[in-house]
Amino acid sequence: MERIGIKLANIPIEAAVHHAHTASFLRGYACDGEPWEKLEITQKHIEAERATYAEQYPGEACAVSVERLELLALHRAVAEVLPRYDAAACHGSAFSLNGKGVLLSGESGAGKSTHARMWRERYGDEVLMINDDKPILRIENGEARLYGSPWMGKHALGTNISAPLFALASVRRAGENALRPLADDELWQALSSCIHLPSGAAEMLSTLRIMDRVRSCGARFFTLECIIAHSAAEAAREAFGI
Amino acid sequence: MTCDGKKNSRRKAYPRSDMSGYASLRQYEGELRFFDVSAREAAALMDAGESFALLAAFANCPWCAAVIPALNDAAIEHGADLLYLNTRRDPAVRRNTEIEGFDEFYARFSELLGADEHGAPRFGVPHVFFVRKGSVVYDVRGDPSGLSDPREMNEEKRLAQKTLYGIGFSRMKREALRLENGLRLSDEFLVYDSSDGVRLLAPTGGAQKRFRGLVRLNATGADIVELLREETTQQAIAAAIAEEYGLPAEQIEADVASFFEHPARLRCARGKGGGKRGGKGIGWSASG
Repeated sequence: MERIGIKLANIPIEAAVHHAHTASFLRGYACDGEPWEKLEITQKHIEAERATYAEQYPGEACAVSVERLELLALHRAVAEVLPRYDAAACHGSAFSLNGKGVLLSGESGAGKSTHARMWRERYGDEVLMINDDKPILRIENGEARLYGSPWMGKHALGTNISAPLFALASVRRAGENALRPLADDELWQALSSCIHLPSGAAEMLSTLRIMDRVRSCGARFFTLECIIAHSAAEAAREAFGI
Repeated sequence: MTCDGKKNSRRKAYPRSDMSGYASLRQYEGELRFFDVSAREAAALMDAGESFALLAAFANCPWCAAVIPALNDAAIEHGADLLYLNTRRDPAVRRNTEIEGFDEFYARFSELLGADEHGAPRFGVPHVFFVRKGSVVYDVRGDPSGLSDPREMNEEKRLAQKTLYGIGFSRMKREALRLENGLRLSDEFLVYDSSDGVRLLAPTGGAQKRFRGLVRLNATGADIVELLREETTQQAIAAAIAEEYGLPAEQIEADVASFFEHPARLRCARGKGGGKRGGKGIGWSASG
């Protein structure tokens, strides 16, 4: 077993893992110093993750490697403790445009990563990917900030940086580009669809408070129906006001 | 006073605790509900299959002081008492693991207390254990409200603490949490009132096995207004609600299938006897 110190969203965590692949995976987030949380991934966690994987992807559970399962189990363990520090694991694509953070949420296959790619292709160096799969959102000094994490999706797109949340868009593929601000009663739906809901009661309460504070942090919230074209990024940028 | 607040001549009376060392209680106006117990006595209560709430803490611990008022508030609200394991009752003790009877105590609580990287037992405080018939049904380690510095305590945090301790008391007594309008929920559902007036219902713990997601309730909590997460199926909602109300799942499934569209309105009748339907909504009775 190897114990690795990492820092996620300024939260030092010690992860005890079995596979060398995991240690290598976490390298970009390594840190020294006293951890606030110590997580140990055991065989029990890996088997639980396998069972969850089997539910989501029937027939594929045998093909998934134990290394991948350990990574998934570690992410789950991290996601469960982040709320203790006003942070939440998200599912989405996050990038920074000239230092302003944008989070794209939506169902799997909705086009989040594709839309983020449109932004990169259209705006080049102005765009820096924070994380293309599992960014972290943290409330610090009253501000909602997006952070990178090692879990960057199949294209490994991301950087160990952070940016204040400027806009959140709930993305869906469509035949034409259409954006509108989210109504108040749609915002909880948008937030709950991209933020990890922990199982612990204290952590759940903290997560709901995080969502409440994100809602009132001054960021802009949109629903975005888009095509796969640079025009989608242009329309979104204009709507966001960046 | 006995450990669960009931007077019983067969049970030992526990002396009322001296909580004067807690600075956070100096201006506290409620009746204090703490009664002294030793580590050995707590272990013996577990073995005897008793139900009790136990606080392990000491007065000079700032985190302990930070949570004490809310814990006492929750105890008052639930009509319960707390057994207080003062880990510095003996002035010679420098570490919580050195208290008399720690080995017996640790043998019964080790899974929750944990061990360090060398395998040595840990015993951090504050730690509140809620025990029902000799089994820990809930525990809260440290501050449950996410306080990063005890000096940052405020009313919002205190209410958050009280809510979470209330879950423990409910589980210990196996009561359903009540919303102000009388809607009965189990202790595995958290209710959150947002700053914009939205009331959310979130399953935690075991309830998440059937019902994973958030539900938006109306202002009084009587109506389920909207399902906020796609991954929760109608069947899961029906099963969770059926369990809450103690009704057969089949009775609820058909109703949910008929009335649940996104967003949809499900009406829960309160305390009106089995399966009564009213108007366009579904009538369910609250059991018990």
